[in-house]
Amino acid sequence: MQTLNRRTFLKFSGIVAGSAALAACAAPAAPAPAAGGEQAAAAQEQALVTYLVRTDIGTGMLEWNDKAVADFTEKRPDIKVEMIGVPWGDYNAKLLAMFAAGTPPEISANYAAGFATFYSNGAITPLDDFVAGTNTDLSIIEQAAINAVTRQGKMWAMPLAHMPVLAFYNKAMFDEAGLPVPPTDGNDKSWNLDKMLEAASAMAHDVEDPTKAAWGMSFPTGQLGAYCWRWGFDPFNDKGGPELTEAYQTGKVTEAFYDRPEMAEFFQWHIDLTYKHGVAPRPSDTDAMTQTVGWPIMSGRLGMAVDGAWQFTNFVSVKPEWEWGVAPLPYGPADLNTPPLFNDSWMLSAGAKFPEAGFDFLKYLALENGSKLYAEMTGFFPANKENYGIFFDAIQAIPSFAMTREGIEEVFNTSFDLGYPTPGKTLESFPEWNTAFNQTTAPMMNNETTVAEGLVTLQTQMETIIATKA
Amino acid sequence: MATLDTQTSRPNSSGERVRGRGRFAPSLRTEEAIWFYIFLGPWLVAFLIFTLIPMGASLVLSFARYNAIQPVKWIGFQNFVLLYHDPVFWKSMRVTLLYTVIFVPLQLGISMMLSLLLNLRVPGMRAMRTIYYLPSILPAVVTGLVWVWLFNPDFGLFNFLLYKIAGIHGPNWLGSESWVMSAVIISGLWGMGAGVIIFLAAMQGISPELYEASELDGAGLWSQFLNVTVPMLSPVILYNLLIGMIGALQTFERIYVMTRGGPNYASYFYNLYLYDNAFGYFKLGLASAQAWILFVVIMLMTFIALRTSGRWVFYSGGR
Amino acid sequence: MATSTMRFRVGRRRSEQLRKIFGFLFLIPGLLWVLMPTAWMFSAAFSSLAQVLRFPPDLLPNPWVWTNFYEGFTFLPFGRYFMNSLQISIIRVIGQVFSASLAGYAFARLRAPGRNFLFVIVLSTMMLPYTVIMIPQFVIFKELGWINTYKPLTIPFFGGGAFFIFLFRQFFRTIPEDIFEAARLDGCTYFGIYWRILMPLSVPIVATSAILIFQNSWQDMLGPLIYLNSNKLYTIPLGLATFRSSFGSSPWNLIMAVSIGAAIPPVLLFFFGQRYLLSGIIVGEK
Repeated sequence: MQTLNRRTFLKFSGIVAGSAALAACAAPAAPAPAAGGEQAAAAQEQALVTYLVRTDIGTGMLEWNDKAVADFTEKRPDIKVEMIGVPWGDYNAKLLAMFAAGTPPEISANYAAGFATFYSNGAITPLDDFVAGTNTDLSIIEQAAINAVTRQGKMWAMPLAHMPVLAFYNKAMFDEAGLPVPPTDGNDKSWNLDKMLEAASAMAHDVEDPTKAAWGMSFPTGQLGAYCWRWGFDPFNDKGGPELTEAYQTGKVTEAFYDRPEMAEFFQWHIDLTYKHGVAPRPSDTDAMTQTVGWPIMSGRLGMAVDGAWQFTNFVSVKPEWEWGVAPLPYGPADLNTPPLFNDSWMLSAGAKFPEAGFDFLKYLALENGSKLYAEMTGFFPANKENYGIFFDAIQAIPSFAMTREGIEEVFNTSFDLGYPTPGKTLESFPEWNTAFNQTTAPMMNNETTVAEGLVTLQTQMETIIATKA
Repeated sequence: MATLDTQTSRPNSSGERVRGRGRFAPSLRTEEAIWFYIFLGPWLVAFLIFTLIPMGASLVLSFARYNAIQPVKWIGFQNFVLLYHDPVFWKSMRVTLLYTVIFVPLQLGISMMLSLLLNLRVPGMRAMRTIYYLPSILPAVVTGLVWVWLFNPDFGLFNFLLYKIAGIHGPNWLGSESWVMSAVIISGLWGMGAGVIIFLAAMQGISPELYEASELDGAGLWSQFLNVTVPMLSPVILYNLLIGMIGALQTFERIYVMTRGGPNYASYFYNLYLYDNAFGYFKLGLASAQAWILFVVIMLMTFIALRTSGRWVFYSGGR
Repeated sequence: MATSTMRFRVGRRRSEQLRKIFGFLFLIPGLLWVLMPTAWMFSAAFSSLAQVLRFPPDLLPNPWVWTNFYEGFTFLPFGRYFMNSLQISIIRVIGQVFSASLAGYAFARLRAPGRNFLFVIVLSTMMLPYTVIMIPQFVIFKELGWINTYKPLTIPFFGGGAFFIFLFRQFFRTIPEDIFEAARLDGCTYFGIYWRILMPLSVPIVATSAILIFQNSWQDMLGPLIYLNSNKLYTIPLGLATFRSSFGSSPWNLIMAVSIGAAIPPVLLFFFGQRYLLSGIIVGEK
């Protein structure tokens, strides 16, 4: 954390200064002409692809977008890509505003809302015709990632990243406590909740005194309770795991089962981490810390942090001095360790003015040189299988990374085998479910109400939303 | 400065007096009316295009389902029915009203006290006023986050100071249902610069003779405050009350950054829910219905405040 | 007579002093309260990032890092954003002051049928939540081809705005009516009265409006976010929002440095303009 981003800063400021200088020559700061007329006029010679990009720092996304767009423009002078930068927290608001204006960006990503929300609102175009029309070979993209963005037999977005949830750990703290680090094989059932708690207890100390505190672990409960899969239960069906939930296939939630005992056990286990075992910071603290200080494990005072594989991006930019590694999710009471799988997929807007050019750009980003740069620069795990090696090389280049190549490959491979797409990427209107879930579970997670009461509130809220959708 | 003095020396409604006198010929009257509308032209045009038409459009949208992408679908009063049966809608309404009822009087009282003090003629007061005004100038995107930082239960400055000075383990400000509103109110009381300025301006306008006269009557500081300052300020108090109320009912940006409305909707302000519906869930029709309901609530509350104000607002010009 | 005046003067002086002492006793805790978040921001702006993140928090930077301001303003093209914000704010101030003063003059001194009704309409727009008109406004701007230009951020305000029309009207009503009548009798046109007589007398209210309008425009975040697409058109608040990290650590020291740097124009305006603010705002009458 101390050494944050100095290098990234300089690199980035160079890029921005460069583009600012170009912009300064091109036009005075006076208002630019409206995009619509310009596009129509330019249609003959050059297709204009507008591309909505997130501008938050520290993920490598900015650098990647700049480099990829520059490279693509060189290869395809007939297409002009115009990046529209938006703050990360406002990505969806901006996207909606652009749709409302009838000027959607050709290309955008399905970050917070999942592709299903855009699909159900008729905002995106299926890619199959373009794939067929250009003889594009999709076999190099992980099939599970393609499945996750497929509805009614059509592919609605182009996966760039495909990432399981993993258990990151601070090896230095494990060593200090005299513990062996977790295994790399996702099929190793000895790595279970009890084992994890045991390790966390050994590493936690002084949790009452924030100046000296070290915590054993942090474990999220989000994604509408998907982590309950390891209890052999899914909140949207009453028979078993996620593979039995119809809502994940259709995107439409019609029933919820948050009032079941499995759900109660799952929440109780998580709440006990903080309030009974004293090994985890309060969930609200973890959130506040993430918002202000950054991801808590980067402080070096947290033994393990369960989170998505996108968090490698933090290690790439921070490069901590202490040794660290990563393990699969621990097994739960039902002898399962199903990790939720996330995809970041790029979408082609319905009503895009230059859909062919847009698809060519997508292809470049997902299948060609753009995807190589993505694997190398962003710290997000690529969906393009040909680039796995580039990603692993990039991670292994971090000096404090304390795992073998075989080790990290095994972690990823077994996690993909065992995982299931997360509700956040498959359910329609995910933001709405997610807000309801986060709001109503908060008192329970803060130990201000019992799990039994909390789940009644949660269930009632979910049923209310289901009723409004009927 | 000049308000009260000149006010007493002229009638309060210029229109009537002149009509009685009949000084200008009818043609001049017409000319005057024409110029009135010319001068009002920019406002009229802007009002028509950027306020009235959008207002009509959003009223129409409030009877429709609209997601900005697919065509508008008419659904009658369904949006309103939906809101009526939505517990979160009522919760957001309750949170907002509760906040308004607690926060606005506090804000009024404190900003009035503050402006009394900032009105003292002491060297360095210009700088002092600027410092007090500073929070209203700093960008809300950033100050919201500063509060997240200060309120952090473990490493925030507030709880650190509480622990250092009083040995108390401070509350989980933003994470606890029972504390979050206190945190929201505290942070709101930080940036009250605008109200203070209006009070200050009004205080400059109170003529010193009024104070001198009451002093001659042997009035103390407190009774001077009650019998001179408050009555003379009462129209400004009303004004600040209305502005404060309208603002409080529309609280958004700070909360959006600080709490996102949590936990368990305990700080889910009305406009936050509206914003989520519009920009988070693609429900523009529903959001329009919400916006109109808010408009009606604001009008009602303003009306009530104005109706009851006759009892305590004192207009020096006589009514 | 003389003695009573004497006594009065002495008493007055004493109570004045008492007031000052009391005042200061109250102002200081208040000052600390106001200063705590501000001081934290200042301290962070001069600290290294490592120090900002340290616990327990340090109250003063150690060592002082002066380069944050330079780094912050060069990290993103904040210089350009600064100029953009300045451009938007100045255009808006000019347009809004001009039309608000004209409308204020009309409401204060010109008689016309429908005047009172229109004035009520003006005042009632103060009650209108922005959210009511936000979405349709957006569609209108799009139809006008104004998206990704500064027009949506300036032109709609050229109507004057209820608050400022109100302020101008209040101010103009304090100017004795005889002046207007005399000017009319001298053959001065209505615009002539506005331009040659009223405006020179209106420095306080023009300054007041300019300061407040500048500030509103300077702080606006939602407008630029929704209406602007090109990076080169971005404003300071939008740039600041961009500055954050999604799940890593944000460069707080630089964010604070830029925020403080960005606050300089409105702070200077306030500091030097406050004597106008205090004499320009007249709301205490009907």
